[in-house]
Order: sequence, then structure tokens, then C-alpha cells
Amino acid sequence: MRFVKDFFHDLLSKCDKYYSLTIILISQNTLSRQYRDSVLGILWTLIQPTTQVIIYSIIMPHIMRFPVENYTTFLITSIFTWSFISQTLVTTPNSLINNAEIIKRCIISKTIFPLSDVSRLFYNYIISFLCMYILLVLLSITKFDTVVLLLPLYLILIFITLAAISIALAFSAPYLKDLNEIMTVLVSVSFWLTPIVYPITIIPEHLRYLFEFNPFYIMIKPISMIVHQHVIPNFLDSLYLILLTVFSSLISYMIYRVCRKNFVFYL
Amino acid sequence: MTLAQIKLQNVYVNGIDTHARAGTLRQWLLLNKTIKAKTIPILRNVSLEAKPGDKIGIIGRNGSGKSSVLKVISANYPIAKGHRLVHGTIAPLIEMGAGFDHEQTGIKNIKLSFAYRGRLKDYSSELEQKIIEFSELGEKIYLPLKTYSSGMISRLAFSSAVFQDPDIMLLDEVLAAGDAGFISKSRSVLRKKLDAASIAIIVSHATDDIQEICNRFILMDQGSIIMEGSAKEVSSKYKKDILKIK
Repeated sequence: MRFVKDFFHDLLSKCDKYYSLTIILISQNTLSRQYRDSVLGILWTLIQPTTQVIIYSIIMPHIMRFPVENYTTFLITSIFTWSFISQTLVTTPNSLINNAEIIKRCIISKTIFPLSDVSRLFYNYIISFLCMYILLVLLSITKFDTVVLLLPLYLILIFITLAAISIALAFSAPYLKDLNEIMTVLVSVSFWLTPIVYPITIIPEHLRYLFEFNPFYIMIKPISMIVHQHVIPNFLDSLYLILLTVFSSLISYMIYRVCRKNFVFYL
Repeated sequence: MTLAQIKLQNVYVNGIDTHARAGTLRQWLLLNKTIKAKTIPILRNVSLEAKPGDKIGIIGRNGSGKSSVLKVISANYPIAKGHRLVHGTIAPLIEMGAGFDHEQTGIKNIKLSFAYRGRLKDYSSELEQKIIEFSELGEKIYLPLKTYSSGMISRLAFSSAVFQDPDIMLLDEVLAAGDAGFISKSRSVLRKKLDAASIAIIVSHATDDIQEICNRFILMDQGSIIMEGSAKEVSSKYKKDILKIK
């Protein structure tokens, strides 16, 4: 009970205008620095997943025979979402380590750093995904359907889930410096263990439940259903995502509580 | 408004010696190092009380724990044992220039430094103008920091840090850099800010620098408070017992 009370107390203490403004400012700064002096600038966030989409859309139908209607839309939806998830998992273990000097010297809420990293990646994801979607509709590869208006609801849940996980990763990484490498391996294995470039229908039915509980798939599935299949995610899929959000928030809060006290000495 | 107050009671701070701990699997399995980190005492049994009007100078050698006391007050360091009670807004001038992004322009860095100090609330374009004027950087404020000389960077760092009116001011040997004119200007503004603050704590290597400003003097060595006394007493004990100067 105390734990839940503390959780809400800590959460409410962050509901401050200047807390979010600071997150936005730091994300903006990183964004502008990241693509400064590069010729294509922010377009790179679009190019990277798009090349992946092009490669898989050429190769996959040749090596695996699976019937997916409108495979390009399917790929774009899952790969763009996946790249947001994977980049968050690989980047945020370093959020506090990279800002060690500021953390040791300034009075600032430490959660701002992982949160500004996730916000930046989320912003990139939304913008690039939106551009791709508009392009798909304009090229008549997919048709516009009002069901996409439901998308923000699911995107917010995914954002909260990853924001929570990023806090746990950022606060535990100073204690376990390998976390970054562990996440890189986890991400590359998960890419093939999650129905991202192939549809779940190619998995034998008796094994499918294993995939249904894959947290990455829980996040990607509703987005794919909305954008690719133009259907409203069913109750169970939505419930899974909500439960994932709740559990990852609570578990991350537990890790944060344990790690936050002494992490500064490990930076 | 509550009165500014600092109360540290038997505070112990333990740092972690990350080198003594097995950082890799090889060190753990083959070199017999423990996974559990070894702690190193940073502060031992420090008790310090400050009430409005106190301007405390803390003297000591490098590594005596004086900056750590400031970090405990500003809650950057967690305490292992003891109690910490702090009332009032704090401005730790220990963070001058922290988080400056050398790729960004001076003006953007002013705002960033406010964000990193959790002071975005106080930020306004008038304040920004005041900071630019004070730093005497003129048009150069629109250039990226990487084109600045180190003197210009510290001028900007000082200017963007000094314009605040906290209850408690923490100073870590900040005495501004730059040319003679700028130094005297910044000393006088710093002095005004210190006088205006309810409580000020200044860390220094010698009493001479802070004698005029402070009204209480504390000597620290090896993470403990050795004595409190007048500037003269503290200075002579520091020179005799710690620096071993005859």
C-alpha cells in the first residue's frame, strides 16, 4: 500500500509545467545538435527505417512464402514502431551516465534525462511515421480510414510504457555498466522473435501463445491492426497493452526506488 | 515564508570505490574481487547548523570534504547516516557552466543552464538581457560556444549563474575569471548577492579570501569538522596542524 502511495506521490510531484518544459527544452537541444551540419538533417530519422522497409519488402517475400496483403504497409507500421522501441532500449541506459557532470553538480530532477531521451525518440517516431503514412495514402498503397484516429490512444500507452522502462534502465545502468550491451543483444534477438517482418500467422497455432505474450508484440500489434488492417484492436489486445503499461510502470518504479539513492557515486 | 535554515546532524556520507569492485566477470571469477562495492568515507560525523545571517566559510585542503558538505546541503549526495534538514531555496554556485553545450550558441546555453538548474521558472527575456549585458559578450552571444575563449565561457557561466536571489547560497571557490575589470565587477555583484542571501556557505583553501565576507569559520580535514572559531584561530590551526607550515 505504501509503495502505491509513494508511486502516486512521486508521480504527482512531477506533474509540473516546468518539469515538462525542461524535458522539452533538453530534447529540442539534443535534436538540433544531433542533425546540425548534416546535409539531410532530421530526414535521417526517416531514411533509416525506410531503407529497412525497402530491403525487407524485397527480400522477405522471396525467402518466406507468407500471404500478407499489403506487405509494405505492414512492414512500415511494424518497423517504424519497432525502431522507436529498440532505440529507446539501447539509448536510455546511457541517459544518466552521459549527464554525470550535471547530475553531480546541479539541483535537477534526475528523471528528466531518460524522459527527455524517450520524448525525443517518440517525437522522431511520430513525425517519421506520420510522413510515411501520408505518403502511403497519397500513393494509394493504403487507404485512409477513420480508425487511425484511435492511434493516439495506443501511442500514449506505448510512450508511458517505454518512459517507465527508460527510467529503470537509466537508473540501473550506473550499477551495471554492461546494460547497454545487454540491451543491444536483447534488441537484435527480439527483432526475430517478434512478428515484425513476418506475420504471426506463419507461427504454428500451438506456439502462437508464446508470441502473444511477447511485450514487444503487445505494443506493436494494436498499431498494426489500426494502420495495416484498418480494424479497432479487440478488447483483449487493448487490455494486454494496458496491463503492460501498468506493470512496467510499477516494476520500473521499484527499480528506481532501489537505485536512486546511491547511483550518483557509480556515475 | 519560512526562515532559511540548515541543520546537518551527525551526517555520514559514503562514496563508492568502483575500482575495488569487480567491474567485469573476469575480475570477479579470476581475480577474486567482490561484486559488492567497497565504500569510502567522504564525510564522517559532520554536524552543522546555520540560521539566517550566517555566512560560513569552510576551509580545508583538497579532498577534505568541504565541497561534499555543499553537495549534501544541495541534496546531490545521499547521506548514509544522520539527518539533513534544509529550509529555503538553494542556489549552489558549484555548478557554474555545468551542462554547457559547446555546439550551441551562448544565448541558447543561458536558457539550457537555467533548465539544468531547475530554474526555468525564473527565466525571462529581461533576465536574459541582463545576463548578456553583464557578460559583455555583445554580438558574440549568438555564436556557438566552441568559438569562445575559455575566459569568455567562464564569463558566460558566471553571469548566467549569479542572477538569482536564493535564501541559501553555496559557493565553491567561485571567483570569476576574465580581465581585471570583469573580475572586480563580478566580485562586487557576488558580494551583493551573498549579503542579500539569508545564509551563505563558501568553501575555500584559505581564510584570507573569505575573511571579509564570512562571520563564521569552520576547518575541515579528512571528512570531519576539526574546529569552528574566528578567522584567525581557524587560519592558524589550519596552517600549523594541517598544512604544517611553521
